[in-house]
Amino acid sequence: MARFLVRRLFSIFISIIGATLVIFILTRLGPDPIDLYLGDSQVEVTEEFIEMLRAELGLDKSLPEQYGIWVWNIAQLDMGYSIGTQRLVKDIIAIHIGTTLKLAAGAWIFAVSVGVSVGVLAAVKRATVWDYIGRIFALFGQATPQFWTGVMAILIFAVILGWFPAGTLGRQEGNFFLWKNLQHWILPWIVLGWPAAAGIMRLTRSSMLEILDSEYIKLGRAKGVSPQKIIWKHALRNALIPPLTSSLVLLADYLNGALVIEIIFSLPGIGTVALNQAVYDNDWPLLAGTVFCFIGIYVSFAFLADILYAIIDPRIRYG
Amino acid sequence: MSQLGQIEKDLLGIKDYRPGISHLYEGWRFFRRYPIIPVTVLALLVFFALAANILAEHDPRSGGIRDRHIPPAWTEEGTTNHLLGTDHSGRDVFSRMLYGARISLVVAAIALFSGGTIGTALGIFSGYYGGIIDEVITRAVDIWQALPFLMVALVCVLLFEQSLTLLLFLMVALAWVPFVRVIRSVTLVIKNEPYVDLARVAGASTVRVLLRHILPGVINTAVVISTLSVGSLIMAEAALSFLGAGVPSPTPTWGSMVADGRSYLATAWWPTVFPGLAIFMVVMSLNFTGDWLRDRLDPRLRQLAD
Repeated sequence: MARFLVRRLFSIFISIIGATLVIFILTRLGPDPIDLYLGDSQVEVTEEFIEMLRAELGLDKSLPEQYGIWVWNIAQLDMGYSIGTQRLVKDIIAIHIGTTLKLAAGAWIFAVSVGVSVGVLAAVKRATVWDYIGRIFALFGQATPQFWTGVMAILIFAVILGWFPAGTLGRQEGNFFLWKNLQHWILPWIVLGWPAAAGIMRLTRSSMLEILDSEYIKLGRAKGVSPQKIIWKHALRNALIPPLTSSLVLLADYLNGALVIEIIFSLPGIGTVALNQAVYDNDWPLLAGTVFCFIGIYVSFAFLADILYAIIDPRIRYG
Repeated sequence: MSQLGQIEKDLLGIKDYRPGISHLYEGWRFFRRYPIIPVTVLALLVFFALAANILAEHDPRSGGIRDRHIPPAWTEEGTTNHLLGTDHSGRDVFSRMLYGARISLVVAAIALFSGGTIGTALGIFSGYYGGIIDEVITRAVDIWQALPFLMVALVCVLLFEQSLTLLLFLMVALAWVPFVRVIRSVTLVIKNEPYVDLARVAGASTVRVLLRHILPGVINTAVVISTLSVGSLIMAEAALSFLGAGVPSPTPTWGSMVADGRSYLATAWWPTVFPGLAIFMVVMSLNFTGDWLRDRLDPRLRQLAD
């Protein structure tokens, strides 16, 4: 296990280095970084000021040196100051990351609970109405763009039916699990979790079908174990391995979606910050900070999934 | 798909299908075997995209503010002049969707072709040569997958200004990834086939072995991956346009139409609903056709996809 961990950690390290390198190279392929800092400011800037700024930002050093300093600072969570607000990027992210994580966690719970239960139902009641409902659920989930399902959810459930408030978190006071706080989250969770739920449902269905066909289930049946016990105790526990482990990776993949969902539902997470404050204001340090936040979350989820998989299925460790 | 015996099904209480819905089941089977509906939808899409300038009765880029938010033709206040109504600045929704189909198709096709070529080539190299080349290529794929695509796209828009070229670059960057791993594993199998060894013994050059003996063996797989991934590419293009990172306005795209219409949702639903429905139908049809092609051309991929 230790060797496996070391190997995985090493490859994650490579991934992070590679990702930072890609971002760094991108910034140097673009316009002069100093222009990014000056933005479209209307004020005349003198040559001396630009030179001073260049020295202050470390842009007068060689490229490898700049990269080294940059990565080192990021590793210490020092991502500089936001240009637009002159606040520490670190602080801005710290304020907003909670919203993004809550959104992701809720979507994950939705995806796993719905995906697994619909998957089991579709497998056990194969080729009945339940199976088709499950498949249609999966088909819709995988073929609708999230930005559109989000807008449609607002139109139907907030504007027309009025069941949920449309967008924004309102004033979140008191316990998070109070209905008046929770109701703002339900639609975003469902919309973000749906495609992942569809993937989990398909995985659960196929692994459940495979296991229902295996020798030990047949033996159990021959010995007269009741169908309920076979499904819930013997089959489901083994069938859950693939969907549960891949649910983490799926979640990481759908973090991309979190950006879109936050914008549609006006949730103040890091995705909204990235688009509304960073891109529209050309706030380069802030954008870099949010990008690394996303990379960090993705990589740690992938790592968690690996460990989980290795614990559950020992063959992986020695693979 | 598992094969349960009848006795086991009875024991488990699994019924194949109830008599009442058997025609539903048969219908499903029929459409899985012959994907008529999805292929029709896709053919219509291509037709609409090609004939956009003939079919569109209105200028997709401009409209009169007097004509704003005219509802679709079948509603009470609708006019047959604007089949699917008009948007917030009086532009005809149907005409815009026709031109939007063009953008979606062109972008997806270019991305798929270039990305597929790059991905397939890298996959073959990786599988055939192994060693350090293999290591570097697989690592590159890992790194690429750790990058949050939409965020990187936003970074690029900030750095390079929004343009069609940038969009194409981003889409190619997205498209090559799924090819590498699968093509690599297929290549690993093929390169140990006796005919490849024989070709080498007979004195065929590496280029010849790769092009004449390996490539034909992986091409089916590449075609299948293409059809399976084109749907997600169209969705990615739409998401980029939605975020304002796609083709610059006023060129209509389905994603930007949804983004524009969003602010007027309470008063006018049609500029938002129809482009989204179009994306949904196209992606769904592509997924169906992709599954069908996979089962026909390369059933081995079934495990990878499910």
